[in-house]
Amino acid sequence: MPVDFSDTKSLEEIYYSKVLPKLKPFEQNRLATNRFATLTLVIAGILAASIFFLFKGKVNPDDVLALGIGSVIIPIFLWGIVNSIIQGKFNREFKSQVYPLFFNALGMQYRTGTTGDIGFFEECFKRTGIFIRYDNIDVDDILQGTYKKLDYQLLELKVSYEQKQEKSSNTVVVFNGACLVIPSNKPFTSMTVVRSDMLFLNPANINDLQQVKLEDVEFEKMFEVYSNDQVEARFLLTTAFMSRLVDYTKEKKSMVYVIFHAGYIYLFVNYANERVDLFEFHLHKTLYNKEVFMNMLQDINGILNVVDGLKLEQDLGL
Amino acid sequence: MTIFILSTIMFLIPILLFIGLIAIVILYSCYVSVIKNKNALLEAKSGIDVQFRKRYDLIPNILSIAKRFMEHEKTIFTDITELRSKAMNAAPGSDEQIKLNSQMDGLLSKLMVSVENYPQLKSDQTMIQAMKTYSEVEEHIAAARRFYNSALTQLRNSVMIFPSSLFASYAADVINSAYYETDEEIRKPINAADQW
Repeated sequence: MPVDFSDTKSLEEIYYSKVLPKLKPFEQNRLATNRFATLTLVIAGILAASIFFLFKGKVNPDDVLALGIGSVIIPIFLWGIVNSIIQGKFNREFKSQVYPLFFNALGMQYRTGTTGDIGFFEECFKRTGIFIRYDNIDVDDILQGTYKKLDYQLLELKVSYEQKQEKSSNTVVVFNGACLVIPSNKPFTSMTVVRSDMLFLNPANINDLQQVKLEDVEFEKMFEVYSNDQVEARFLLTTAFMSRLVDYTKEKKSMVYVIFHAGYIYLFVNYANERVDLFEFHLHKTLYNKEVFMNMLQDINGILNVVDGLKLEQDLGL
Repeated sequence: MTIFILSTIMFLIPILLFIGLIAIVILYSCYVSVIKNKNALLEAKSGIDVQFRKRYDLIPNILSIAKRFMEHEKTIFTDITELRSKAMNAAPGSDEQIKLNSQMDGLLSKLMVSVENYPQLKSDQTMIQAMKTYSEVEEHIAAARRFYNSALTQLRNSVMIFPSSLFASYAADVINSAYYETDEEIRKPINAADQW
């Protein structure tokens, strides 16, 4: 049964009946994990001080500063690695054991991403050229359900690349958002890609996809379209759909990329800047908090609103 | 003096050759662009014909279903059948084919509105399916026309701007093709009351 995101009372009841009774061991585990983090931080501090005072007299006076920095950085670095492994394990266990209880009760299916999902996106990006530069794809969480009679799959996706500088490197995030996969209400066989306009960097072709020039001036300023069937691309991108896509993008102030392939529409919705992760929870906050789950549902609803914005739920021919 | 002239010539020759080479590359790319745009236009034109064929194939099915229920619309059936056979025999992409299909647009729209007056026909499953297919075919025709108009604009732009305009003669046979525009008859709002 589809979820009614506005029925807060029923959603809270599901939390109280399905999730809350299972939270006790996880909350104890969370507290233990935090205690362990604090304890190991203290040990790391003592270790840092010990190293410093032990070697202080043995090094050249000019190197004392380097010793001080090194004796702090090394234990803290080790502390960070150990704790991220422990917290990561807790995170995965919590998501894989608690989230399915909650989402199943709402008629949805939750699972964490696999290498197969990453492989799918690698192939997809290679064929469509939707993102030009990337070397890392993360598919964290996957949710399946029904929204306004439309079966959907929502995949949380992060695409990034490492930018190497002289002595260091930093991660540039190309896309941080959700990919919503829904069946198209129009039959089609070709592949059509709608991506952001790269101005003079737009290639004439991407693999076997040719650029499609459309008549909507505002749409053309924001997007670039590539397809292996010029007629079908226009059949899918009606003037009404283009106008809705422009309006939605302006309203949400975030770029939407679209791929039409094999009877499905793939909508890549970038999170607004402040959002980091849709399915994340904070280890330093108690798990006995219904807001963690309610906020998650509101965020999911926010992503699914793209269906309303583009009127994809209506059989109006896009 | 002679040495000075010779050295100047020796200095200028590579520069002139380089400029000449660049000019050839630019002119060649303009030529390629005009030919590509012309071919895109021809492709778009044949695309419309492909979509028209789909419509011709669909019409007999729609008419055979509709005839069972719509006894008072015989004139429309006859007109559509006549237009279909004329359009099928018209040369692809010719003005005649365009004109006949525009007339067919109007008659088919009228027929679809008339269906509303026959609740039994409207709820018939085969008719529902046929109308859905008809709507898809019409959307494909509209998409093919949009592709054609876009290809024509691109070709016209390319042959009107220098230096591509130097190659305008290569597209002379198609440059004066007309844009597809919606027939005035179809633009008029249909009054359902007129169908009675």
